[in-house]
Amino acid sequence: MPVADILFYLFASITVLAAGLVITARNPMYSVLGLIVAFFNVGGLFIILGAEFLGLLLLMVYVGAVAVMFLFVLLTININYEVLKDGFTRYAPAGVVVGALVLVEIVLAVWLGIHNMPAPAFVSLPTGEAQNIEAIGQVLFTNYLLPFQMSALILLVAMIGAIVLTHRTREGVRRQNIGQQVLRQRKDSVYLAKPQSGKGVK
Amino acid sequence: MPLELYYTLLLLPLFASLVAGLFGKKMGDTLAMGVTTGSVGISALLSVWAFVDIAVLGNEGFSHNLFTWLQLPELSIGYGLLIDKLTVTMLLVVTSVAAMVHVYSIGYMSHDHSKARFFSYLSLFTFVMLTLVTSNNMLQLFLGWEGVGLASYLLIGFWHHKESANQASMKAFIVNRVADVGLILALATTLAVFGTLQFDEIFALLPGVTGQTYDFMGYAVPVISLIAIFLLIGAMGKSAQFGFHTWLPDAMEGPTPVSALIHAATMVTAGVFLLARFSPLFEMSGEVLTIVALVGGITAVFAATIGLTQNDIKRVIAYSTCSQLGYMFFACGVSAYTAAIFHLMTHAFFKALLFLGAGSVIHGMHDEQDIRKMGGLMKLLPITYGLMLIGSLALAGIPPFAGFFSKDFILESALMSGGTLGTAMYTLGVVAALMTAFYSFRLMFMVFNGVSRADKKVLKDAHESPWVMLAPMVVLCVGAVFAGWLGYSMTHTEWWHGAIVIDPAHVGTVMAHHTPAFYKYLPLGLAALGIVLAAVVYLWSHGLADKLASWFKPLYVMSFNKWFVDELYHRVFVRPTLWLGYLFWKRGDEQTINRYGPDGAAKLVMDMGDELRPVQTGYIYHYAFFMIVAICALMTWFFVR
Amino acid sequence: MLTVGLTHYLTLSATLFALGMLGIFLNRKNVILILMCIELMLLGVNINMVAFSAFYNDLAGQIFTFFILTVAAAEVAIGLAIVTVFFRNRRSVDVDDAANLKG
Repeated sequence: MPVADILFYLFASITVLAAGLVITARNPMYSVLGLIVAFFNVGGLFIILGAEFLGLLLLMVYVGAVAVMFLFVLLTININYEVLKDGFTRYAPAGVVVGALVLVEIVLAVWLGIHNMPAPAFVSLPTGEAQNIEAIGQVLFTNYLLPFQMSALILLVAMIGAIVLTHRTREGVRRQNIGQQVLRQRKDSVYLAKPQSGKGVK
Repeated sequence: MPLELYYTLLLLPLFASLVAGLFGKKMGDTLAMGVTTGSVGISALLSVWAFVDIAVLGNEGFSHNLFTWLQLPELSIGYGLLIDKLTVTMLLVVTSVAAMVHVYSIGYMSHDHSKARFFSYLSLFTFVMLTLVTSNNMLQLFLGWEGVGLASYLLIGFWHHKESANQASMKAFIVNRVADVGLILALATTLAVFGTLQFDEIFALLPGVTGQTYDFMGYAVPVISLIAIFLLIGAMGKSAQFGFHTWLPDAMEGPTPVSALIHAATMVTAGVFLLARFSPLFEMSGEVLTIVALVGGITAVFAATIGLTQNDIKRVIAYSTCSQLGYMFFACGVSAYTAAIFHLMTHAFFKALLFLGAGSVIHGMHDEQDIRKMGGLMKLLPITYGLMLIGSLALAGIPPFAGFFSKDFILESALMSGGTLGTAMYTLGVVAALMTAFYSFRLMFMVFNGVSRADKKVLKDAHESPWVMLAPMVVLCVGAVFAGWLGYSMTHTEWWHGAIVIDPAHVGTVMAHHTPAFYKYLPLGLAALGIVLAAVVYLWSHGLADKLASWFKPLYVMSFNKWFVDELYHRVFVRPTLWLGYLFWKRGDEQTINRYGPDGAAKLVMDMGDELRPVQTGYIYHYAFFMIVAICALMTWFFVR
Repeated sequence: MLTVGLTHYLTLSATLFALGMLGIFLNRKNVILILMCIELMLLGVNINMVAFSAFYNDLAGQIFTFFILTVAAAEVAIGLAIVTVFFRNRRSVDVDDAANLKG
């Protein structure tokens, strides 16, 4: 059995187990860690498939950004862990049924439909040249230019949205308003007081 | 007269009506009155010219198509003029009376608030009536027909804050509309049989369809008679013949100038005009002519009997109009269309004169209309008295006034047309003539002679009408006096030059010129007798009228209550229709349609909303749950398919 | 059968997807966990895309994965921002409190 197959089974099984951890962990931190493990393994799977750019991208974006975001939020907010597991078993049967149904359907669709498709042929493991990145780059900025720009826009919107949503002005913070400072005039700030002797300045 | 002037004649009143109607408030009443009266006046002068041109000088008439409105493969409908002697006669009558009524109304309606609207309606009426008489095809005639019905509705109900006026105007319109079904059927049948609606084409095709019949329930109905019957029904409605007459007395709710113009001289004569215009067609169906004559004769006597006992000055004159229209109809029935049109012309003048005179009396007596509260007005309203006297003499048929010539010509034509029908019509006619003279002078004596029974205060203020009201009456009086002599050539069929066609076999009008002397002068004698009787009862004796009423109580009651025709119609037609309408409204509309339609649908929507609202729980996991389940179901469905 | 082919990858993808769905069902109270399960589902889809791309030698799948990645990141950002604000206002991540849309 080729190394690729062994690696596949290894990565695949760890991924599934990690996904199971995500779902069932009592502590949300464990769920995030499970998610990270799943990301790592799927990244490995991508590399096996020859999409090394995407695999590393997965690590950078998903693990490096998304999972970290999850961790940050989990750490900043104070959750009551027990309450959150409340409805776990109530809908478990229905959920299992639905999940199983979906799984069975997709698998069946794949197994039955695979005959209608042209024979898949796995090319090979990567030979070491940076073919994947080059190929992606050649296609991404020409054929898929528009979606590329659109995704940039989406990121922009998400960024602005996140900032807008969470921004709050704190009261009591003193700031400088340079324009106001510069425009200040003598008559607004200084007045000549003529106190009589014995009496103070009012 | 050049063609453009004919169209000017036709369209000036429309233009004036639109201007006064749309801009009356801005223009001010005086300008509105001026524009409308001026326009109709110009139309009157132009129609005099046209009459002189075509009728007096004998120039050729013509038919002119202005534009084609609807062009179908089988049919072409357009707008056009047909100018012949019949048209110019009607033009003269319509425009001169309309012009006089416009001038008169300046004085009569001087206290009214909506003068501009009134004059706009008057001019509108003039325009549609002119459309009716000048049309060269049936559809345009129908347009004018309906238009005068509309104008009549608007004018009768002019004082729309009066409940009785609104009801009267609706009654007029509805009764007219019922009869118009006949005219519509005539249009349809004509179209089906002849394939065209143009008069000249129809009359040219007439000889070809003499034998044609429709099969109706086993009977072979000749198509010409069928069209004639339908036309007759339409004409009966407009001309208030027996059965369709109930709207005419109630139409007196409108202002008196309206009664003078529409319900004496022009609109009600549209039916007679229709019969005369279709004389070629009617001449070919003898059975229908008999029916026409019978209808006319019955109407003439029937209306006269009611006029004997009425106490409202305008109603007496209204029933007199109805009776005279009966004369015109039975004249047509004995193929004396020329006599009918002649009488139409003279009648227009003296009947309008009588109405305007009555208006003058009403105006002078501060809107009093009950003749029992009048009397002795001869000294107070001398000019009115003189004019109305001439009018009444004309109506009664006393020479040398116009009515004598035309009425007697009708009676002579009826008699000399031969056969039982002719003699019967003559008899009915002279009976009606006796009654006509009687009630006309009953009116005169009760209003103008004797000791006044009026309220003291009213009497003190009683005054003659201003010149703006009297002058038109004088003009009409001239017509009432001279129209008979001047128009006598109308009694010869050749004069009409094909505008009216009389079958040579129907000799009534020709032989009328050779009537035996007794029958020639019998109507005159009976008219004089009628006047004398009226004088006996109302002038020279006291209380004889009431004694006569009590001796002949059943007859008096029938006459006074209009032979209960209105009540009969109410029982038979109005109440069931109202009941049916109520049924459809309450049960059909409210309970059924509304329940399943708007109200039901609304309630259903609200109920469904109430049922479905709990689905929106607000809990996110419920939403997510549903989403996932839905996706799963969708996948399953696609999979199974 | 044991040699790894396209179907194996697709099965793995389906499994991850179904697990993600199951996760949403089970963890109804914790919003952050729901977001994580959504990430799981997206991951499964990514595997699907890349597998097809690799086996049919068409780069479109990888490009699409690229964009899915982008959108997933953006979505998580916004989602967590919402959660943050939510917590700021209510002092709890319990979604039962967010029932204002109740009809």
